[in-house]
Amino acid sequence: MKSILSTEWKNLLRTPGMVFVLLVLAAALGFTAWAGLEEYRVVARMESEAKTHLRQQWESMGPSNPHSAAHYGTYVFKKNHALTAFDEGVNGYVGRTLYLEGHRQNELVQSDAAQGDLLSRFGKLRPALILQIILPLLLLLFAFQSVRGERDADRLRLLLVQGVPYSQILYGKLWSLWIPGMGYVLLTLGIQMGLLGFSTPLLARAFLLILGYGLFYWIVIGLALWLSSKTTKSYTALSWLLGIWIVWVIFYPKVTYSVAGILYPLPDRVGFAESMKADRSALLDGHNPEEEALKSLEDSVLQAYGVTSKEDLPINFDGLLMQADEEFGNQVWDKHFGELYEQMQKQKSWVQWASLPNPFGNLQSLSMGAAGTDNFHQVDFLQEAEDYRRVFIRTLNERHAYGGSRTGDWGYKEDQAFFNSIADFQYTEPSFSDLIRQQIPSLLLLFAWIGLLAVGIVRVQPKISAL
Amino acid sequence: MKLNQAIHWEWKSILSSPFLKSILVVFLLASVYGMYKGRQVYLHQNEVLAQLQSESEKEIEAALKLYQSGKTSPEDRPWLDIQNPFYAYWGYLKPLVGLNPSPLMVFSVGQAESFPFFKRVWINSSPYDHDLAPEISNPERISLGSLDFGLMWIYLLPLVLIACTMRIGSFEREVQLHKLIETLENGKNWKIQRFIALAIFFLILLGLLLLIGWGLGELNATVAEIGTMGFWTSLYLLFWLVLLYFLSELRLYQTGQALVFFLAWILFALIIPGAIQQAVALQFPNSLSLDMIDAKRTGRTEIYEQEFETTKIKVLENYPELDRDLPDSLRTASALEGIYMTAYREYLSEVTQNLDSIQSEKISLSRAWFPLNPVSFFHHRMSHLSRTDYDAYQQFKEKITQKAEQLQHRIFSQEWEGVIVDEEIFLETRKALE
Repeated sequence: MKSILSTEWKNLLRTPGMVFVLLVLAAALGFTAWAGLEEYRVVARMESEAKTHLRQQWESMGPSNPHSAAHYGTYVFKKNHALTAFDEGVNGYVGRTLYLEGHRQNELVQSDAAQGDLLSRFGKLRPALILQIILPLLLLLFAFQSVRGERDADRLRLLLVQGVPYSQILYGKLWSLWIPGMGYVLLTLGIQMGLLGFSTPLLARAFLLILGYGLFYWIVIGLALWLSSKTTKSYTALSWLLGIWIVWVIFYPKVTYSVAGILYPLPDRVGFAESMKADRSALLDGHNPEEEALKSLEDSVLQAYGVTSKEDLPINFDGLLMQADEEFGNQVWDKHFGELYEQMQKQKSWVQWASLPNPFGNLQSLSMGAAGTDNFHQVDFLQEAEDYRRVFIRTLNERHAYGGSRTGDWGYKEDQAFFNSIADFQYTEPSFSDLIRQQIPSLLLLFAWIGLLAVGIVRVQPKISAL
Repeated sequence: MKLNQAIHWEWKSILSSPFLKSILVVFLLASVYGMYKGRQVYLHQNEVLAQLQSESEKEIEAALKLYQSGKTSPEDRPWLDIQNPFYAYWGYLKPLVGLNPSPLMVFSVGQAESFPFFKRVWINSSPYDHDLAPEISNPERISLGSLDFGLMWIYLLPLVLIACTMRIGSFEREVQLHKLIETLENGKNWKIQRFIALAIFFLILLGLLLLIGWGLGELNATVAEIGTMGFWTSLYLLFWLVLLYFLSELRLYQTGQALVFFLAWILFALIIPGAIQQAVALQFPNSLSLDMIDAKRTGRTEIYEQEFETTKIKVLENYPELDRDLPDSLRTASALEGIYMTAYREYLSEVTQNLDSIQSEKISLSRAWFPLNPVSFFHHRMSHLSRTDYDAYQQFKEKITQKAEQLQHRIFSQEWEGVIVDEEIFLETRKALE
C-alpha cells in the first residue's frame, strides 16, 4: 500500500500545473478561513456593542411604569456561532434583529440578504464552499484521471500480471487522494481553531466536520474510481462523473427542498398572522378585556383575596390582567409557531432521508449543523429568545401587580434598580448530543454509501482486454 | 465545410449522444420547472397583495357606512372617534404599500423570497420596522436558492455548454485527427463553425423558453420586456461560448479541456462572485438597524423633550399653507401634539435616509466589480428586469417612507386646521394617499 501511495503522489505532482493548482487551493482556503473569521469577529463585535448600548439604554431609562417598560421592550441580536466562519449556512438569509415586547412574539428581521445585492447563488466564499463543491470536483477528476491514465498507459496490465489485486490498487488510489483532501480540511479548521482558540465544544464540532468531510471525500473518490473502472470509454466515465456532480451539487438539494415544501407546506405570512389573530381574539385581551373573560379572572382574584371589588385589592389587578393576557397569548404563539417549527423540522427530516442518492445533501446538512448555522440552531435561538421574553414580561407584570401599587394606578413607577435587576438575554447553544441526534440520518446515510462503495470497489474489475 | 453542413453535423452529434441528449432534456425540463416556480411566486405575491387590498377596501367601506349613518365611532370601539383625523385614518385608512411583482418574475425569482413585499403604513412606519419580515419559508431552502430559470440559465447553462463543447478539438487531438482536419480545411474555421452551430441551437432553445415563460406569466409582460430579457440572456450565452472557444485554443486533450472548462466555471460562477460578496460583507457588515432602534427609543424621547415653540417654528416651515394666526390656547391638544409627531416623523425619515445611504454605498461597491464579475452582472440584469433585485426593494422601502410622510402631513394639517373628518374629507384623503 505504501508503494502505491507514494507512486500515486509522485504521479499526481508530475501532472503539469498540479503543484500550482494545489498551492492556489491551499492559498484560497487560507484566505477564506481568515476572511470568514474576520467577518465573524466584526459582526460579533458589532452585536456585542449594540447589546451593551441597548442595555445601557435600559439601565438609564429612569423610573417607569412596568407595563410601559414591557412595551419599551428589548432587542436581541442573532448570535452567530464561531464556526459560521467555516460554513455560513442560513445566517446570510435570516434576520438578525429581534424585538422582544409585551403581548406578541415577533420575528427576526433585517437579514443580510435584504441589505444588498445577492452576488452569488452559492453564498459567500467560505471554506465550506471550496471544500464542498470545488475540492470534490477536483478529487473526482483526479480519481478518474488516475484510473484512466493507468489504463491508457498500460501500467495497469503490468500491475495485475504481478499479482496485485485490483481492489488494492483502487484502495491505494483512494487513500492517496483522500489524504491530501483531508489535509485541506484540517488545514482550514486548524487555521480557524488556532485563531479562535481551542475549546472542547468547538473541538467536538470540528471533529464532526472532519468526520463528515472525511466520509464524503471517501464516497466521491470511491465512486469516481468505481465508475472509471466500470466503463470502457473515457468520455462515458467522465460524462457520468460530471453529470453526477452537477445533479448532486446543483439539482438535487433544490429539488428535495421543493418536494419537502409540497409534502409539508408552510403557511403564508398573511394566513399565519390572521389565524393567530383569530385565536388570540377568542381569548382575553389585557388592554380591551371582554366582559366575560374579565369577570372570570376578576372573580377568582377577588375570591382569593376575600374582597368584593378590585379597588379593595391590596395588589394591582391590572398587572394580573396583563399577565393573564400574556399567558393566553403564549398559548396561541406556542400553537402556531410550534406547528411552523414542526413543519420545518419535518421538511428537514424528509430532506435528510431523501438525500440517500445524494451524499452531498447529507454533507451539507452535517456541515451546517456542526457549524451551528442550520435551521435547527436558528429555531433553537428563536425559542430561547422567546423563553427569555416570557420571563422578562412576567417579571414586569408581576412587579406591576405586586410592587405596591393599586388597581387603576397607571401612574405608578418602579425605580431604576428594579429594571437593572432583570438579567439580559444570554444565548446557550444546543448541546453536542442534541446536535448529533439531529444529524443521525445524515451520518447513517453517509456510512451506508461507504459500505456500498467498499463492496463495489472490492468487486469491480477493470475493463481491459485479454484479462 | 459550409456553415449549414457544420450546423447539421453538430446538431446531429449532440442529438445522437445519449449523455448530451439527456443533459439537454433535463436542462429544458428544469428550465420550464424553474419558470413554473417563478410563476408560483408571482401569482402568490399578486394574490396576497390583492387580498390585502380587498381588506383595505372593506375597512374603507365600513368607515363610509359609519359616516353615512351619522355615527362617530364603531359600536365595538367607542373610543375610536372617526371625526378625528388621527383615529379615523388609524382605524380605517392605513395605506397598503406593496412591492408589486413583475410578470418577468417567471424568469428570475432573484431575491424576491428574501424581501418583505407588503406593509400597512402608519405615521411612524419605516422600512426598518420589526414587522417587516419576508414571506415565511424554510431558511435552509432559501439559502440553497430557488430552482428558478435564473439559476438554470446563469449557472446550469454554462455547464451544459461545457458538456457540449468539451470534446470540440480535444477529441480530434486525442485520436490524432486534428492534423487531417487542418490539412483539409482551416482548423480555426472548422472550430468556429461548430461553436456557431451550438450558438444557433441554444438561441432557438432560448427563444422557445422565452415564449413558454411569457405564457406562464400570462402574457402580462410586454414584447419589449421579453425582448430585453432575450437580449441579455443571449448575450450571456455568447459570453460563455466565446470564453469556451478561447479556452479550447489551449489545445488540450479531453480530460484537460474538461478540467479547464470546469475551472473556468468555478472561477466565474463560484469564486469571483463569492469572493466579492465576502469582501463587500467585510466592508459593510449588517447594520442591525441600531440607528432606527435608537431613533424609536431615545430619539423619540429627545424630540418630545424639545422646547415647544422652537419645534413648532421649525415644523411649520414645511407647511406654509397652514394658519399661524390662531393662538395655541385655542387649538386642540392633538393639534399641538401633532407638532412633536411631525418632528418625529421628519426625524425618522432622516434616519431612514441615512441607513439607506449606507446600503446604497454597499450596492455601489458590489456593482463596481461587475466588469470582473460577469456572471453576477448578467444575473443582476435578469433580476433587475424581473424587479426581484435590491433596486426594486429600495423603491418599495422609499414608498413606505413616502406614504408615512404623506399620511402624517394629512393628519397634522387637518388637526392643525381643526378639520372634522366627514365622508368627503375621508375620501379626499384616501385619494391623496393613493
